[in-house]
Amino acid sequence: MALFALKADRAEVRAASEWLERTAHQFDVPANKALVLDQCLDEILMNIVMHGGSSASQTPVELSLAINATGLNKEVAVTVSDSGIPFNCVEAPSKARASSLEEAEPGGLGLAIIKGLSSRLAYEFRGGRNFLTFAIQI
Amino acid sequence: MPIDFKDNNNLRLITIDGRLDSAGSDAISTKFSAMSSGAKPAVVVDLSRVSFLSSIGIRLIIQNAKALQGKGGKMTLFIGGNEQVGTTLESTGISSLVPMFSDLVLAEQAALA
Repeated sequence: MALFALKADRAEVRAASEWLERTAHQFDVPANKALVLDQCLDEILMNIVMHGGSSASQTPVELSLAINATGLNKEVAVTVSDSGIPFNCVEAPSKARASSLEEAEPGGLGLAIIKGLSSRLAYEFRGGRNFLTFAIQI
Repeated sequence: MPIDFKDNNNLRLITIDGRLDSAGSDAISTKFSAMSSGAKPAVVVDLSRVSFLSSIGIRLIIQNAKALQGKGGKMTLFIGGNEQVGTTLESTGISSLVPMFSDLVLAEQAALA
């Protein structure tokens, strides 16, 4: 397992992406899968930065990466833990898709990306912190 | 985060290169809006060299596509062989609102239609 911590700050999101790229490489995660992880992580971190509230910045956001293998199945799982406003994105409804460009609203797409790209999502709120795990098959 | 454009008659091809995360989107936001503001009614945005497309980058595309449509113009997206960007656009349903093409000629024809 690999660990990383960052401030809930827009300026640090790229550092998290760079850690993820290095760590995925160390764990022999294929580059195209690492890109998918990067995509999900970026959305989750930006959600924390933009919507986590003031409590999100009171403690570091903690990341962990692990490879889980059961039988023939192998996945890479990333867990993001923060002290922001409790938010269960697993149960949060995805934004309804607009039927025309006129009615399309620019925001709210992050959740669709996370749910669309990950093969597994798990959430719990524990000890005052959100724990969101997303995983993809490798 | 490079962004540039090339005009050909009524069509403008805007090329974006690099990472369209929040920092990348901030870096090109003003220029992108100016380039797709309606100087040419048909705009193709070349995303084939975008290495990463976040929802913030997609937000930028939607905002500018809507603004252009409001002025009677049309925007299409060219992704070439960029599977990652294509998958991201499809996962959000945006590809059905701002047409997406792997072939540049088809993207241009659709923008001019």
